[in-house]
Amino acid sequence: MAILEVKNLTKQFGGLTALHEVGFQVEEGDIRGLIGPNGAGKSTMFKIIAGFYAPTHGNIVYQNQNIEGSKPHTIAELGIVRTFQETTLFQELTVFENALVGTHIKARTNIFSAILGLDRDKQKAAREKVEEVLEFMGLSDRRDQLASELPLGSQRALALAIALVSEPKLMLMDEPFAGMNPEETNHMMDLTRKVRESGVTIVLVEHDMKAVMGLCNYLTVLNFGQVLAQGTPEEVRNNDKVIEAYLSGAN
Amino acid sequence: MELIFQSLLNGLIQGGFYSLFAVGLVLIFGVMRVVNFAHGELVMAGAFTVWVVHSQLGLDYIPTLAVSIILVTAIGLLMERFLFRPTRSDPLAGLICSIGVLFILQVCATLVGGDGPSKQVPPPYHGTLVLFDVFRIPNQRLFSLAVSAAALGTLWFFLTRTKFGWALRAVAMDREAAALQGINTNKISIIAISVGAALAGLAGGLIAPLGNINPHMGHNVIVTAFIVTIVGGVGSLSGAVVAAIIYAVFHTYMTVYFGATIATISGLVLMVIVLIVKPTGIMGVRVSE
Amino acid sequence: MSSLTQSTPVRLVFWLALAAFLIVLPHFLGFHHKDLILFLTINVLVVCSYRLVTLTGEWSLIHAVMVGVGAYTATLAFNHLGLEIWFTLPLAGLIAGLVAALLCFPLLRMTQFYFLIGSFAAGEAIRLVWVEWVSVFGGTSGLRGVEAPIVFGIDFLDPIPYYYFTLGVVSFCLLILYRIEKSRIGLTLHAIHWKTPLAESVGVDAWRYRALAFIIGSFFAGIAGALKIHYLGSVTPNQFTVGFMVFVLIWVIVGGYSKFYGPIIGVVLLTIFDEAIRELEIIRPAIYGGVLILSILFLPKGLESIPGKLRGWFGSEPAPDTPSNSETRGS
Repeated sequence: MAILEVKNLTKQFGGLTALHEVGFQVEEGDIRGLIGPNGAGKSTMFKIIAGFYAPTHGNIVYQNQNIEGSKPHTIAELGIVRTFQETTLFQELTVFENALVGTHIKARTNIFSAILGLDRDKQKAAREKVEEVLEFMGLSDRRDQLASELPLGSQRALALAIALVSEPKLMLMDEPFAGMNPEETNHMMDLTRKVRESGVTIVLVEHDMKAVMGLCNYLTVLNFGQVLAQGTPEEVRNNDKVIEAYLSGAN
Repeated sequence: MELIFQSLLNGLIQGGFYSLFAVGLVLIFGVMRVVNFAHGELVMAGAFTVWVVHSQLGLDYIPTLAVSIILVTAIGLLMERFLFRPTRSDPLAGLICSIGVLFILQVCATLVGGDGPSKQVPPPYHGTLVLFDVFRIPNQRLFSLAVSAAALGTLWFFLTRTKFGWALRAVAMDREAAALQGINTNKISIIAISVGAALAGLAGGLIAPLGNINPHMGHNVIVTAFIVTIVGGVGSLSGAVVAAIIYAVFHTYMTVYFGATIATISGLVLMVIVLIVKPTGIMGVRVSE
Repeated sequence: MSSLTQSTPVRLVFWLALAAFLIVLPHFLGFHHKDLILFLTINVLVVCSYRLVTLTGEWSLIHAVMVGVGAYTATLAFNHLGLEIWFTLPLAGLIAGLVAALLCFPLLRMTQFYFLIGSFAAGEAIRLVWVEWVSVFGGTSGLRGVEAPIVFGIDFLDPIPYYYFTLGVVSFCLLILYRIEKSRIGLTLHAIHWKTPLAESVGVDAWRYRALAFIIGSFFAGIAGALKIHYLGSVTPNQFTVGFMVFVLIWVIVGGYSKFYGPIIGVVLLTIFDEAIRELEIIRPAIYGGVLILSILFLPKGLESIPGKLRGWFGSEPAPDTPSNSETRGS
């Protein structure tokens, strides 16, 4: 069952066409890879799905709803969460608090409840969820450290934790493996599989081919803003057009 | 009918001053990314210098203008070196520092001139130009209009035809890229503050014979400069000049028919509207935050 | 606040001592100084309410005018509706909050520099309306006639009873502000400050929260304005100029604003400092200018950061003071 469908998606920035008539479907339970040479439009695609940009034309259908043009927080409420390129964390908050922010949708409260403390149960439940996810991500011993003091691998894990804690159905991961050494990459791959097993569909933008080939069950390849090929990692790896695109892109 | 045209003339002349205020502010913000809240006080310092040096000490007006420019430029250079440069990574800190300078300059002016009523400087140029038997422009104002135009023209030439001018514009557009291309951004900041402060000092010197001089006159200047800068577009110098003239004419008409306070309120409301509808202003490009 | 004291009994003693001190204080002061601590107490509310507004990382320049909105509301309500202070106080807060709510729509579209200038413009425009609309607001001479009530035979116009009243009201308001900061809402505001896009990606409607902080901060500013005016008896537009706004900024910046009590330190110490240099009349603003500059250049995190620095020099780890410090430690 297609959880997400991108239809005829076009995005223009002034005179520049970043995406042109892009279409693909993501099945529930996939780990879908969105790959392509630099500048192919992958991040733009993500930002549109996550609501940071609106498309020029086209639709994004999520669970039978058109979500294109919705605001990021609305899309999060529907169950789609995005992780960011580079380190994006609440740097002056602790690991625990970072993850706690992620429980926003369930734990948010109005001003009167907040002042009077009427939301105690909700907050307790949220904290328990955070403990659970930090455990899952292997971050429990670091819970009181400031996010800015974490090593790279833990930072990425925390970013994942923040997203996970919001109990998403669909997670968009934007280059989570960037800058990682092989050991960190393996660890991250394990974490990603764990996340999928917990029932989350994943769409992954990534350059690290080892991670992509090792994790994804299906790939969509973009080039110059258009879909170049789709298929299993095997099929795509042997696709002539794809090989040529990567070679000529001087990747 | 005559009132309408006379007001138009007055507005255009006022536009010359507003341009000088705004262009200096935009230059400093564009190149150094800091809001110089003390800009009005720089103008005030220029005016006070004329009062002290020309009125009290007797030096001729034009050399005094030069003194004003030099003095205020010196203040600007001190600000750049000791306040704006160390706080470059945090523009808010730079703004707060400029507020500190605002206070210091006001107190300096009070110490120099005492706490009494506003000062007046008798205009060195007498007489009035009469056009078509009806429209009157005091020669002093003509002089200031001519000098303002000359200053802005020189600035335009400098920015578009000289090496430093190009470098300034490059830094304003993208500081990092400019640095990568080998432009010495420190030097460019120094040039920007010098030009910005010089224009403020000149404006102050030109205004001095035309109105009241007191330590708090900078307030109106900064409010005007903000309105003009926003309406014209924060990154755009030509926008600032255009907006200055339009706003000056607008403000003059409003003052004639409704009074100065309502004129200023309208200006502020106009500014908020522009901020909502088109934050880039009439001609500006978005300044990356 | 947990970095101040170690454990509950120590905390309790601290608060009791502080309360005793504040209650006993006015009896040892001359008339002028009684006035001073009264206004200081009110300014504590001004500064703490401003901190709430700036929690999301956006600095407004309209806060002083919001205090004025409260002051004018209280005066008008007293003069025209005959309302006593028990009613004018909340009304002043509500009207200030309402004005803030209306201004959210134009102002909150802007961020950073534009928001700063836009809020400055809106504030100045409101202030000029007070100047211009003489029939309602009294123009530059302002309005008079507001009084403090006489209750149970106590004339609240006297500084000491009014001081206790103010102390009570301000303490209550601070309690609410503190609760907000430590609550879920406070955490969300901090998150918006540090990385708005990340907060949005987990469902935070940043605009709404900025509006909330702005409106509630303005609400308390309005209350402060009403408190001030019932004692002063008259309100003029000049009480709420950029000058006052700059003072608020100075208190917050010099005191520090990453902890709840930072601005309080700022306003208390600078008010005492102000008294100390009172004789230097004319050059006082310049001294403030100098203090502001030195503070930004050499102590950018404010006076509140000094305990942490001292602890650092003497070897122990400073406790990270993060939003829900006490409440995140599991339960």
